[in-house]
Amino acid sequence: MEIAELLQRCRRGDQLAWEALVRQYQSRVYGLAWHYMRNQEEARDVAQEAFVRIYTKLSSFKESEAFLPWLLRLTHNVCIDHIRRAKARPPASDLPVGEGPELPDSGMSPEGHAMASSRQRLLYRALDRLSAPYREMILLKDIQGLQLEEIASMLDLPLGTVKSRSNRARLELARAVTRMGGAAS
Amino acid sequence: MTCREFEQRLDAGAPLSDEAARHVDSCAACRELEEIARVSQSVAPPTSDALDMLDMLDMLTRDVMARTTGSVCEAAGDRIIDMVDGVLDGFERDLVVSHLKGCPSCDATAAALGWMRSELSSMAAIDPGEEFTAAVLRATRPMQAVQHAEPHEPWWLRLWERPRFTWEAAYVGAMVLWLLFGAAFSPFRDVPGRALEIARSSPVQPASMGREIWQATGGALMEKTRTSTPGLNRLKEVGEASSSLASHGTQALGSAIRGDLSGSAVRLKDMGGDLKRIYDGLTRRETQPATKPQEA
Repeated sequence: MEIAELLQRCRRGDQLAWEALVRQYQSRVYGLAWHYMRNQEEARDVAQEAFVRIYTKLSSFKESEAFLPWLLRLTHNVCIDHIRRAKARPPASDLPVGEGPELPDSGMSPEGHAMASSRQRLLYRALDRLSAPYREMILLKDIQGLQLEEIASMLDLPLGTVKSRSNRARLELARAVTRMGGAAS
Repeated sequence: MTCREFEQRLDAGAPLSDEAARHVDSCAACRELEEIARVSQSVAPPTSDALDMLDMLDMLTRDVMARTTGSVCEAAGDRIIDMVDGVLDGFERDLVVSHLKGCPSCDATAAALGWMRSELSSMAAIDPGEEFTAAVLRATRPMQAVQHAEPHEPWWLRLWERPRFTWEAAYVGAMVLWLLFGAAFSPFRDVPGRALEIARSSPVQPASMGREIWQATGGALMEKTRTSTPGLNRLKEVGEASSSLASHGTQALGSAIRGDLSGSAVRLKDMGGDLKRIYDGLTRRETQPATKPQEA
């Protein structure tokens, strides 16, 4: 479905178009929220809040820019706002990591389905051992596929810093994976 | 064969030819060199101990690196990433491959970096479940009454297409009529009363009555407009001076930002003139022209 047409219809108030847009991007928005929150309920709340914000800001989206980075940037901001608001309790990413993966168990079907492969389980466990800036870099660049320039703008960091941090984060993750379980072939 | 040619053959690892053998027999230095080369080749025998020997050589390399430049694993990190990303080629790539052959740790890291790329990108989307869409639609439904403005549609067209437009236009029209003929401060307030008075007092002669009404009310309108003109002109002057003040202010600010202080000073002076015009326009009292007696 053509995104420009979809957005134009959403701006006119076409509810079906809005539903299609939500369906098309909900897994990306929820995926990003889940990586930040590491909690099913919180991720769902944050993803919902992100979509509400996306809806209210649709008219400010410029058609000349790419939609997915704009959408992910808004979601990222909502996640950060949520984490700041919930500062009274420690965020999930700072919780101590146990022996088992800090992942929802098989009873939580969506995440369990997403993390079926052993390599992914290993990656999630290794991600938990990275520092927060490195984890965020992996999340935005390698998982969500954002460009370095977009990440620099989103995090308000110099491009050189983002590039070096991204490389370091990948190396750290690869070394953590190697230490934890080899190549998990 | 000269000694130099013999050294070149030895360096290239070429087998000993008859000519080279004759040279070795006749030259003591080259004979010694050939002996050393034969001994050094026999250090790595093709036996079951070869693996241990390779380990020993790796260890030797690591020891040498530790005592000279330090471990290269840290320095190799960026180039390993570039190689995995496929942006490293030629000599740089050969260097990294050479390092990976002798460094199992970096080799494992490079392998992990390789499979991580596809795995990480496949972790971007997580299905939140069917009920999530319904929850989002429920949350945004109350807002859908407020439609998003169409950015490319002109404002007057959106205004025109609104269903309430006719009622609003009628309301605005009534307000204008009241302001012109009904408000206490309106200069045309007595015009409808005069027209009504003439209509009541005149005999029923539509043609002449219309003319009389026009002479009375139209004349009054013309007179009111004439007496109001200086005030309107004054307001117009004040408006123009205000606009000029804003324009000069912007130019003064622009000049100051560019560092053009003389230009900024000129604009500030212009702003002073604008302010004076505004003040004069607001405080000047017009001499009212003598009003002519009106015919009823």
